[in-house]
Amino acid sequence: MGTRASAQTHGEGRQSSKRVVSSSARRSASSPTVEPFVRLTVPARPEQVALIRRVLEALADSLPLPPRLVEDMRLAVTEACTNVVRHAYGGADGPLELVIRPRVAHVEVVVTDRGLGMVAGRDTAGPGLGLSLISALTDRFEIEHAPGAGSRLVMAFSTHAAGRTPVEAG
Amino acid sequence: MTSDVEAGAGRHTTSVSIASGPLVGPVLRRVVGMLAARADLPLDRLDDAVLVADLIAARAPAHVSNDTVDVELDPGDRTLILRVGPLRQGGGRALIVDAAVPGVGNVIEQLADQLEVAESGDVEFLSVRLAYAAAG
Repeated sequence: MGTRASAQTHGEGRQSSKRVVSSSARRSASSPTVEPFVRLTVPARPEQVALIRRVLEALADSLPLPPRLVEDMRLAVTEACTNVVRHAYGGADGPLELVIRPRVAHVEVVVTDRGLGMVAGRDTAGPGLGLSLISALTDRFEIEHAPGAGSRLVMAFSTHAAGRTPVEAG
Repeated sequence: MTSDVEAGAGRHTTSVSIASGPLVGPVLRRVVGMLAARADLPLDRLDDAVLVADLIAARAPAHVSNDTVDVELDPGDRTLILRVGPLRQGGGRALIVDAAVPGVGNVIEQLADQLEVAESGDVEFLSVRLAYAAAG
């Protein structure tokens, strides 16, 4: 059975909630109707994480995003993609997809793989600190995963969260 | 899971899809530049690849079949192939023609080692191959 976990954090008084639902519920709930702003699909290999960071850099250079948001996003996305590279395919090859959707009040980033799901690899005890770090850096995150069907990690970074001062336009 | 991951599951190539707008140029030039470096293209050809990426970013939005600029990238041994599309019918040739610069000529034609427009149903794809001269 697939699982889904989500957590929401709100500025200083961060509240967290987690829930688990079946993968069938996940499929019915997901409706990718919004056209992604940037979608990058790469082989899930270590060197591709650098390419993903370059794309984030392009985003930061092109949009008036708060520097703190960009730093948080870069770190969280790096963790998420590293998790995919290390755990998703058990050393085999497979795709890693990154979708970035800048919205008015937040930036949504989705990292998807089609591998083993969020399970422990042979070389480590599991995703470990990565998810804790992602939880701390994002304003909302949600994981959907099913063994053998892959994982989908949705992260939202608010432009108005504590410590993120919006860049003045013009 | 999203469709692109499913579609790309068997290929494992690098592809980028960017909504037409201010991100096309910055994102595409970085992706192309990095993959050109990874393909071990010499510096002058790496510069050429980035210039081609900038031209595609500037001209392709007028010829795409939807609202996104899609590019598939295939780095090889001192070669880099960019496959741009889907483009609307006639868009492949139109994109090449649009890359002409007054006084310079057609930049993509001058820089690419190989250009090819392939039809697929009612859309087209433009393939641009850049290589180090010694790679053939």
